[in-house]
Amino acid sequence: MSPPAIQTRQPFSSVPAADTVQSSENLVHAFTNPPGKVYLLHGDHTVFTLSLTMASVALTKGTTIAVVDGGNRFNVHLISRFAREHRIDPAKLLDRIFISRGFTCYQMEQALTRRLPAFLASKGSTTAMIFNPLETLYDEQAPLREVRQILCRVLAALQEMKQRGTSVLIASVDQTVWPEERNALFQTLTSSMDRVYRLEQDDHQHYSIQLERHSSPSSILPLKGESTHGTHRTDIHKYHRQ
Amino acid sequence: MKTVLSGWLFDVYPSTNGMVVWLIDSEGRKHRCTAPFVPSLFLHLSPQDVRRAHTLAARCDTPLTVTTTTRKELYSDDAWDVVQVFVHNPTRFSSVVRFFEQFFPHFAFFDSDLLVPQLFLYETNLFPLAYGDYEIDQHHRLIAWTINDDNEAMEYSLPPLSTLWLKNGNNFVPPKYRKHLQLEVSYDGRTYSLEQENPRDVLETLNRHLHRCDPDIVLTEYGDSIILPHLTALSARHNVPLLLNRDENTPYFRTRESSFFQYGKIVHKDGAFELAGRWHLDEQNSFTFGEADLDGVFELARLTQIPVQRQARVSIGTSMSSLQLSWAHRHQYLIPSKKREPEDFKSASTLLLADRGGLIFNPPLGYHEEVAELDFVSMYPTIMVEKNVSPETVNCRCCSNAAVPELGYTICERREGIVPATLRSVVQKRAHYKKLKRYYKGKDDALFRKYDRRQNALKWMLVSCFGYLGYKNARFGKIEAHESVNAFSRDAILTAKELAERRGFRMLHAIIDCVWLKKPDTSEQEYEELCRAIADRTGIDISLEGIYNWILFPASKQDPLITTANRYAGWYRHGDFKVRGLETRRRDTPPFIKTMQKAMFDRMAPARTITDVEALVPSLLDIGRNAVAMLRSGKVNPMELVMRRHITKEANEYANRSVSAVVATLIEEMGVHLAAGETIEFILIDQSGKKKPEKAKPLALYAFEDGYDIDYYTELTLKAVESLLSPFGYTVDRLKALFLPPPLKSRTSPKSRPVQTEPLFSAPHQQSL
Amino acid sequence: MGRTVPTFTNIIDSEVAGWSKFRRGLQLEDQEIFDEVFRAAKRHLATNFYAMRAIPFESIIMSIIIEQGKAIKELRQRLVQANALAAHEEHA
Repeated sequence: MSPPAIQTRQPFSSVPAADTVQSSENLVHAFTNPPGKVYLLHGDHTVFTLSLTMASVALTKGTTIAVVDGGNRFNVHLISRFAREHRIDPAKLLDRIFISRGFTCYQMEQALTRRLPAFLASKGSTTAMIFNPLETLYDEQAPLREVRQILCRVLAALQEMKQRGTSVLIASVDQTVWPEERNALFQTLTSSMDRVYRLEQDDHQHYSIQLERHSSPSSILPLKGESTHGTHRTDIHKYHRQ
Repeated sequence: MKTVLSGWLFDVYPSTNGMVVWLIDSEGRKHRCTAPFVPSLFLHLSPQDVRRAHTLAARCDTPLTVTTTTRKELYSDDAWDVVQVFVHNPTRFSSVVRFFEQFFPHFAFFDSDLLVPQLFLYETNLFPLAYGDYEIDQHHRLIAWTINDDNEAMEYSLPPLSTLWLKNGNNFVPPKYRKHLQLEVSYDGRTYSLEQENPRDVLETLNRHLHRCDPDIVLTEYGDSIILPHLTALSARHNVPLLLNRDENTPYFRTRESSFFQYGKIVHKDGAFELAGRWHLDEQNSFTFGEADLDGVFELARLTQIPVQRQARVSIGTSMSSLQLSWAHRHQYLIPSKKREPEDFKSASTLLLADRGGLIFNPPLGYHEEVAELDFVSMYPTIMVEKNVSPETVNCRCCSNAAVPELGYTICERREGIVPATLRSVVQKRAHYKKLKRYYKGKDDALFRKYDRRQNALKWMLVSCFGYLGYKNARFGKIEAHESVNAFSRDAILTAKELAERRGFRMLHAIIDCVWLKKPDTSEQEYEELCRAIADRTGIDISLEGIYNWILFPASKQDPLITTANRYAGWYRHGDFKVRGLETRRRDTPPFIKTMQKAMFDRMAPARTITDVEALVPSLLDIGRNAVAMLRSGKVNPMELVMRRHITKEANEYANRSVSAVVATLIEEMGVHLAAGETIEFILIDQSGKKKPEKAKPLALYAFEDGYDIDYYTELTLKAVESLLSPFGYTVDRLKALFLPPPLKSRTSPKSRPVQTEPLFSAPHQQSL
Repeated sequence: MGRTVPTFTNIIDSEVAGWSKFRRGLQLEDQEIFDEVFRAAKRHLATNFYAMRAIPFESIIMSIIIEQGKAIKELRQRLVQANALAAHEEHA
């Protein structure tokens, strides 16, 4: 019986090591001191390399991190390589970063609104990362109206976590999708962020991180004409083994 | 006054005040009755929303009844208070769901995206082709029934069924590419050609045949995608009603075609065209029919409670799903409309260990003798059943053990999961049919085929159940369950290896659930003893597939010094031949090359040892030589050179001028639209495009004067020869030197072949010369 | 459902790609040995895969060491046999 087909992935392009680590350390510092913010980092797929490097930096300082992965971007070996390069036992880092993968927008919603806050509380952690939260929302099999509501509920949940002192870093790869209306979801995402960083590449293949937006939204503005009904919130998983 | 009818359930579909049920009695007479049925969905809501639900229901234009009740939730096994919405007009069920979807989020809905016929069957415990005594009153209402049958039964009777075949006259080119349909109708042993010029006459003639035959089954090729839509369009245009439906008051049941992304590829699904009171089955649009014929379709329809027309068209995952939904319904568990179980948070360390498939040991290169193949029987389903692996049992909240090897996940000891509960009978049925099939082989052809088809249909369902555990659209599924099954599977292979090694066997190759062992002078009995020992230790049955006279593990196409998994060919001592992954077996190989390689394997059948194989080399080279000579003479029938490929994009989306792009564009220019994921068939005329810029021609446009690219097909042929003869030193380059006359310079392939050196680390069993 | 952790074949290919600069600086005959050495790792796919160590390169190295050990053992045997044969012929 042959194994099911799997997606192959490109190896991550290499970012000049020193720059990355330095930027990472700065970002990590800004990110976690004080905790309680929601940042977005967007650009090409290198955003994930950068995010994982930042995570590695934070992990070496003893932070516990929860990652919700909406695009199958998590790369374990990047972290273990970082450990090796810094002469740390990889297990020490790999045991302290936790992943939940979502392959549909419904799974992502459940993961972000229910599971993530519960998990962070159970571990006493205040640091979370989300990879490509929009990717599953682009799936044509999920109706746009539903997807918009899901995004609203997710952003509301992120704000709640922020109030409780959690720092959330969202890494998103820029993409143009079809049908066109779905591209507007990115605007909805950015409007809810404390800061938006853009990863840019210059002519010499060097990356830099640009601060694109800095705001403190006081509340989440509901989309015009969209209802966010559905208030039932029984957590069927509150007893579920984590 | 009521009558009791002994017969079979034939068809079932919704009407405005219940379900229409068609029955066939033992004389073959059809009866149309109605059965009362009010489908319902459930909403899980907060108290305020419950009040809103009542208000909204009153506003809905379809008559509804709303009550509150309790149902269980699968993962927690808790009882939930839910709102039950009864839809009095079954044909309006999905519009009622859409109505409520405007007001409540997706996670509030349960039992809402099931098809009404299935809801009816789950509710009544009836199933397609169920034999029983049906009580009908004078208004043709089905008021009661006694089923003298069981959908899990291994022996059952089928009603007498009449069939009418509706085909396109010229089978040569798929109807998609033909401008005009030329229909052929066959029944009762005769074939009629509908050659009339006037479409009205064609339709009226067809109606006459339908009326005369009154078929239970209309069997077509491309009926869903081409023939029936075309006929109905003609019927509308010329105002001639078609008598396709037995139930003239009910419309056809149609769905649209679609292309979507799944597991990294584009998949295309044809639309469906289903009839009322009669079955339309399209051989081209039915995986199950293609694999297991009508016997297989009936076997599945009975088991899954999916009406036959639907069952013929659904993917294998849907069959598996229906078993689960039926079980859930029977046990009063809520059926979520969407899968939303995300993965539990796991550490990256655990992810490394968990996110893996079955074990694969790459084999040593070349020809080997005294090798036997042992296969675990239905490994993955058996693991799920025996180890109780199910979405709600893995890492349950009530138990704590480290039942899953390597990962340490807990498996519930308190309750049996939905997956094992539904799989158990399927595994048993398949084993039973396989036994019967083996018994009747050579004794009774008809029975052999019947049981073979049934077990084959079930096999595909079992194959899907594992993927289904992890499938993103599966209603009940959880990655941890999927991971657990893989962990048990790896453990089983390693256990088999260890037990075998302790008895002096060497494991040459293993892939997921099969192992290839070698030990000189070993009898079948010894292998069977080993099988028993492995089965005892792992809890999974394993059987001896056979002992090979010789088996070939060919080199990888990328690297001639290593092998890849799941590529082998060999003759068993008991006379059968097995091949995987080689050109003979691959779907994209042109028939000419398939035939040639098969001829080579057939020539090797009498060989008992590798020495025997080696003695045959000159004869095998002759086969290759002749094939190449035929190609170079230009006289090969181009139909033997047809290549098949899936296209990943639509014609206008291709940026380059690859062969696929060119062919797709040509087809598009013919006026035929191909969606992504569909297959193209073409003949390669000039791969470089230098002499003939169009490079290739689709089958529909091909003319014999177009010829074919001799060099390209020669290269393919030589590669197919190389697969078998490279262990004896015959690479493509050497074959070219042998087969091709010196002046003809063969095209240098863009990838230069790596230099064949003596390997640094020679594998002990490598064939050396 | 996509796999997140790559297959071990992909991991080996990734490692080889990471060493491409090193390989480029080798002499041709050394490059052939370089290729052969990583090929040894591919022959031990199952072992590497089953262990799934955090640093894949460690288990790749182990596979290579095992293959070298086998080659050395075989050479020793051949040497012993050759010596025995030579000694036998001398005395004949």
